[in-house]
Order: sequence, then structure tokens, then C-alpha cells
Amino acid sequence: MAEVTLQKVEKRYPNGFEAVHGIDLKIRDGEFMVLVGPSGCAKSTTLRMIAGLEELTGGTISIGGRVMNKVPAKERGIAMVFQNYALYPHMTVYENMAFGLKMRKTPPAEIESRVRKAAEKLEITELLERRPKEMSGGQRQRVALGRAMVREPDVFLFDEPLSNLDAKLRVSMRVKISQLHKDLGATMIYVTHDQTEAMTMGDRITVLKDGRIMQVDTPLNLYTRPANKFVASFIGSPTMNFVDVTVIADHGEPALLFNNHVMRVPNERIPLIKPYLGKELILGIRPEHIRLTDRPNRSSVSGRILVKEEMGHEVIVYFNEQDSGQMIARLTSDRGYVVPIRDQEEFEFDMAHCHLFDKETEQSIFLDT
Amino acid sequence: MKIKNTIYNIVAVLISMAHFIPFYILVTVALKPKTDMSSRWLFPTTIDPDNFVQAVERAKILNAMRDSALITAVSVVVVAFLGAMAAYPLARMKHRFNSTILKLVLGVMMIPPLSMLVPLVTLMSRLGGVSTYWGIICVLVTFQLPLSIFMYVNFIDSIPRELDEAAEIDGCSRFMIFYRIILPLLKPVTATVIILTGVFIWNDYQFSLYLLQSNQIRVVTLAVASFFGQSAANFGAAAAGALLAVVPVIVAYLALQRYFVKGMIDSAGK
Repeated sequence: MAEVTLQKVEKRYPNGFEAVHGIDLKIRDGEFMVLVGPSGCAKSTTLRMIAGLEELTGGTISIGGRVMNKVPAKERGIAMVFQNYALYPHMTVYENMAFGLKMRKTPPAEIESRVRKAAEKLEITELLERRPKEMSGGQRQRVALGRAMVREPDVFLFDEPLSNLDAKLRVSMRVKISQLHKDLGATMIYVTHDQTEAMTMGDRITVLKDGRIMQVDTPLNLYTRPANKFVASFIGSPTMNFVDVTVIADHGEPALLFNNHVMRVPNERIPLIKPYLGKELILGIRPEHIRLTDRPNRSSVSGRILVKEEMGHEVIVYFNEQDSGQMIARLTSDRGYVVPIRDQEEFEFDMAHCHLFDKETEQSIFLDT
Repeated sequence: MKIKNTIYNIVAVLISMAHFIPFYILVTVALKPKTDMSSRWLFPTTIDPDNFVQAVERAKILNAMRDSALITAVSVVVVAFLGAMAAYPLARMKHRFNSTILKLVLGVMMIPPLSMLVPLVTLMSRLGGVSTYWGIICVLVTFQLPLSIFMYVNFIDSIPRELDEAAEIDGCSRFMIFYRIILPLLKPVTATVIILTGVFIWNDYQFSLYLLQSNQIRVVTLAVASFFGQSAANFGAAAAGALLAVVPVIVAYLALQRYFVKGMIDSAGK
């Protein structure tokens, strides 16, 4: 087990493209860190640099306090699980799992014991004599996990390991990997573009965009206290709603004006919006913080229902409010069933849970509270 | 759909006939005695071994087959091994230098070997390579390597790079990755390379004619050609010789057929 530290890590390709822009990140000993972001955000590149499969063009990467920049992959004390499993097709499961140990000249008795132990843990003992092509995707992924486990590495690296699995299998493998982390207590770095995986598995999550870190925090904090509009939009499904608002003085108190609707923020946040009087901000509101109301008022908005998705325990409603574009509401009922939705409904925002972002920097103005 | 299938079937039959008819005629000519003046399309009523006896005794076809087999086997092994070794870095390290090398390799494939025959024979003569095994093997390997490299590069391209990376993390050096992981996966394309280059080398006439000038080393094509003189030709014995010479090729093809098709498809590129 080891701490992984990235200091001003950069990656520039020979054609001049800069994929990673000076990342600073500290992954604690035994932590499950998830790197998440959209395609092209350099999450895999960062992981591959940690693994030693990609060279850094700037900064340092340390594992367990030792600078690893020039250390080859095999000597970094890491094991990696790949998206496409990367099992050796001409070897049996046993040979696949034992290969790394053989290359390290581990005594055969110990190889046998480690492979059997890992196979038992992952419930793949009966597959040990099979070849990869004779197994399902889920079984292959468990073998890939086993191959990493037998190495007893300081750091486990996962590069979108569940992307090739179907939805049901993905959930069960998610649980398996989380259990594994709990049992082994090893440092794990997990790359995914799936925010559900990130939220459910990570002790902390690093959100990346265009080779830059947007925010590093716990899943709950990322959800409730996003540092910027990108994180707010990336984390959460359905995604957060964003509308442009103007900060106005309403009866002497700062309030938000949105399409002739005046909305008040909680008292403790009023000082934070005061400096923006007369300026525009971006209001972010999660779908579950929009609810139906029977009493139209000056802060409620009237929406024309575009689509409703009935999920059983909730209804996802897509609606239009004048020219503000499409908005999404997640409606549930306290009584256990969902209320019928008409073509036109009145909605109100739960401003206690609203987020406000600077229009220019897109940074949250609530971040320091 | 039915019409389309019928057309495909007709075309397939025509192609098969185009290959089968010459082979049928070869068999009938080889089996008929010289005195049989019937049409070569007709199968002989009595089978005469005389042509085969002549092929073995006069043209020493069995000795020629031994020499051909030796030259082909060594050349094919060298072509396959060097081709795979050269293709691995070309497929995995796609920088400008390597892509230039690959283009050069492809370029060499376009040059007709005949255009280089005179300087090549002169060079081999100076090096003392004429009428030697190593001389003919060197020349044949040189001309077959580009095709082999090209096929291996395309095939290795289809092997996920993650296998190399997993092996690297598992503790393999570059050579070990090639030897322990990549090489065992090259079976299908190796079968294709063996068949394509093997058939070419076995059938080679032009290089053998100029580079094997003494009678000590004589390949099957030269042995069969010996029945064609300026004034007369012994078609029966030539056909019998050719028929014997083709047997090893058929055996090799049948043995490697399973891999051959997969190799052809996978090395065709994506």
C-alpha cells in the first residue's frame, strides 16, 4: 500500500498537443480515488503516466514517497486492470494469473497458493483451466482482477474496467471491486466516464476536464457543493438545470430575476450575492429541487410539459419555461405514488438547494461558505 | 437474393473449373503412355507409369524435390521469423521513421524482380553465391520479406496494444513481450506467410535458372524444364514431374488451411 502523489504533472505530445496541464493530486494510502470526466479529459493518460506506460513531459509522480518518473512499469509496484481485460489469449486463466509472478521468479509453490487464493476470492476456481475466449465478459473481467490481485501490488489501477459489461453485470462487478478494496485496503485509482460508478465507488473523486482538475472531493461534496458549473453539470443524473439570472434589489434585499420571476436565496447566502448586484449569474438547480405547486406566485414558473418519463417511484419531467430552454424536474410523491402530470404545470424551485455560478469564470460563488 | 446466390454459385463453379481443368489435363497427360494419341481431355484407359519413371530417372525429380524442400523450408523459416521480428516494432511504434520504413517495404514489393536480375546475378557471382544453397536462399528471402513484413504488420495491428502493456507491467522486456505474448498469437498469419512464400519459392524458376547454374543443386522447376528442349518436348514426363512436385505443396496447404483463411482475413488490415 502506498500514497501516490502527482506534482505539476504535464503531458505534451510531439505534435504540440498538451493533454495534461500541470496536475497536482495526492492520493492517500489505502484510498479509492476515482478519476472521472468526459472523453478526452486525460483521465486515462494520467492513469497511464502513473502506471509508467506513458512518459511525463513535466512534473513528478511519486508512489510511496519514491519518485517514479524514470522507473519502468514493472518496478512501480502497481497492477492494472484494462478496459478490454488484456488477458493473454493463448494462456489459460491459471497461466494468465501466474504469468506476472513467473516473470518475477516467484517460487512455484507460492504462485500456486496465491493464484488459488485469488481464484477462490473471485469465485473463478472452476475457470482456471479455461482460455479467455471460452469465458463471458464478466468472467474475463474477474480473471483480470485476479491477475492484478496475485501480484499484491501497492497500487491498483483500473482503466474503465466495467465499460464493456452489460448494465446488470456492471452493478455486480462494482460491488465486487468495492468489496475488494475494503478487504485489501489497497490504494486504488479508478478511471471511468460513468459518474454513477464514480459516485458509488470512490472515497474521493477527481473531476477532470481538458487535462485540468476541476475539483477533488468526496462524492457527496461534489454533488452538494460543486466548485464550478462543469462539476455541477457532470455530476448528477438527470443533469442540473442552468438558467441565467440577474441579481436585483427587491425591497432593499438582493434577489434573483429570472424571466420576470423574482427568486429569493436563503438569508445566509444573501451577503454572497450582494457584490453581484446588477450583474448576471448562472443559477443551477438540481431536478429533485424543482417541485409542483398549486399556487402560482411571483417566484414560480409555468412550464409546458415536453416529455415525462415514469420510473415507478418518480417521474422525470422535461418542460419548457418561455425562452429559457428545456428544464428537467424529478417529481416524487410522499404518498408512494406519482401525481398525474398535466400538459401545463406550475413549478417552484427549492432555493435552499440552489447553486450560483459566476457568469464569466463559471466558479461557484458559494464555494467558501 | 436467390438470383444473386445463383450468380455467385455460377461464378464460383467457373473459377473452380479454371483451376481444376489444367490440373485434370496434367493428370491425364502424366498417366498416358507416349503411344496414346487420344485427346488429352480423355482419361487414360490404362495407367502407364513410364512418365513417372522418366521423371525420376532422367530428370532426377526426387533429388530436385529434396533440394527444393531444403531451400523452401529454410527460406520460409527465415522469412517468417525475420518478417515477424521486423513487423513488431513497425506495427507498435508508429513514428515518422518507422512509417517511412514501412512505405519503403511496400515500395520494394512494387519493383519487378526481373528488373534487378542482371545486377543481382553479378553481385552473387562476385560474392561466390552462385550455385550455393545460401546464395539462392538469400535472394529468395530478400524478395519475399516485404510481403511477409506487410502481412505481419497488419496482423499485429489487430492485436490489442493492451496485451503488450499488461505484459510490460507483468515484468516483460520488449523482446520478452514479443517472444512470450505476440509470437504465439501470430500462428494464423504465419500459416498464411508460410503458404504464400512457400508456394512462391517452391515454384521459383527465374532466380533458380540464373543462380543455380551447376547440376549439383537443382530445384523442381529446373528439373521439369529439362524435358522441354529446343527441338522437342516430352510432355508426359514433364507432366509427371510436375505432378510429383505439386504433392508437397498440397500437403502443406491442407495442413495449414485452418489458419490460412483466418490469417488472410486478419492480415488484410482494418
